Amino acid sequence: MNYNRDANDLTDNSLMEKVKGGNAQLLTVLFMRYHKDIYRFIFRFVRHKEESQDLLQTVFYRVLKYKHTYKENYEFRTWLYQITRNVVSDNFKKNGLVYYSDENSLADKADDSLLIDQEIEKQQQIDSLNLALDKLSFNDREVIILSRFQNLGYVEIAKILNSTEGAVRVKLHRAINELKLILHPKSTK
Amino acid sequence: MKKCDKIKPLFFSYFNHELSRDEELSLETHLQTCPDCKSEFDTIQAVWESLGNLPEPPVDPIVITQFTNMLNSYQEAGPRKTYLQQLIANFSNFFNQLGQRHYYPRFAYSLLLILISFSLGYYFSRVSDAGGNYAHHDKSSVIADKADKKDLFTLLNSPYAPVRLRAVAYSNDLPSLDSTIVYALITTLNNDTNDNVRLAALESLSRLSHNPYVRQELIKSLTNQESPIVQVALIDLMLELQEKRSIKYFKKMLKRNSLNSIVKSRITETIQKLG
Ligand SMILES: [Zn+2]
Repeated sequence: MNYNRDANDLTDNSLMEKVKGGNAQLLTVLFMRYHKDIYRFIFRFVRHKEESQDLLQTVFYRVLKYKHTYKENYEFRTWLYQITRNVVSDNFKKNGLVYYSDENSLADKADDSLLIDQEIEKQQQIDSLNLALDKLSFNDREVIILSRFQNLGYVEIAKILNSTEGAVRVKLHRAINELKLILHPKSTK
Repeated sequence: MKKCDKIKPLFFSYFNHELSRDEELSLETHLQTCPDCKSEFDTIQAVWESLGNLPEPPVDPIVITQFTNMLNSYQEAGPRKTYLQQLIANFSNFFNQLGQRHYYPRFAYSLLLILISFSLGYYFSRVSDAGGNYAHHDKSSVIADKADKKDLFTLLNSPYAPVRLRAVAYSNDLPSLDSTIVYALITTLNNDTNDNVRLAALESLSRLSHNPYVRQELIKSLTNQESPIVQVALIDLMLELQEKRSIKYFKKMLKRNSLNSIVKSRITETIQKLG
């Protein structure tokens, strides 16, 4: 990575301004800052390693492709999440709601006799939770992933979703209730 | 009741410790006095916490290499859109000239396909496609080369345009095509999101145009196409086949406001030649 060491001291927004100005190499600094968060966001949706890796590159490719649309007053991180959201949603539209089995799911570990009961139980909980998340609508899943796993505040989530803070809370409340009903179908509202 | 509606949306901010001390206190007090809210709070909190127990997906450091490759290709090749736009502009010019000089249409069509294959080969070796399957083309070429009929069907449904393109090309090399593959090719011709994949499917199907079913589907496909490149290729094929039934579909196409002017004149010309 041959970018200037000083570039690490620059803010996201000024780095993106320079990328927009033609210094594409500086995107590397932004990639190093955000690729883990973005990858995890994508992975929570598609739960397939290679697919997530591809989509991660698509996100940063789109940052380059649409760099001219970046405005100085945009918060880079918010903009990046908006792009990611579009990439993931395009992928869903293209492939339909195809779910991959989790590579670490219990089914794949079934013949591993070394698993102790406690681990099995833990893995079962993870599997059933992932299955339940799969059954949610795209929007419900999205609001849960953004608010539970990405350490973003509701103000920023609202900006990412082009919504208001209050509306995001309501959506989240509904989505979690939906998830709860899938997990425990017998329980009443 | 009104109080409850105000309290519930605060649950998540409470979990995230985003509330002020006053808000926290009022929420806690309400929960002590309202069993309804308390029970909803408990179940939601349980779900929220179990979500927190989901393991963090590991990130393979290979993504950094993939990124560096993507960035290098981008810098070498320049933005993809410009390249595609150039490609389309070249094709339009090409057709214009052909139209004026009255070249033999079938020849034009073949030459076009050669041009596209050539351009795509160059293109896919450098830049990722719209789906961003940057790292996929090497792997997919291996898969496609080994494909048998069953794989072919799967590959035709791949989310990756380069894979589908190879699958269609591969169908030409098979000694015989069964009806499932023919059907898949027709579906590809009518529904694939990628112009080049649809063109390749058309090329494959045109070899089967002696089959009445395939021919009927080719005619019907005229009104399914939006892309001028595919439209012109189909129109030329109709002329070559001397297919008079296509005239009805041509007339439908002419009614569209969105119809490209080159395509329009192509159709008028073809109707005259057929009629
Ligand atoms: Zn209450």
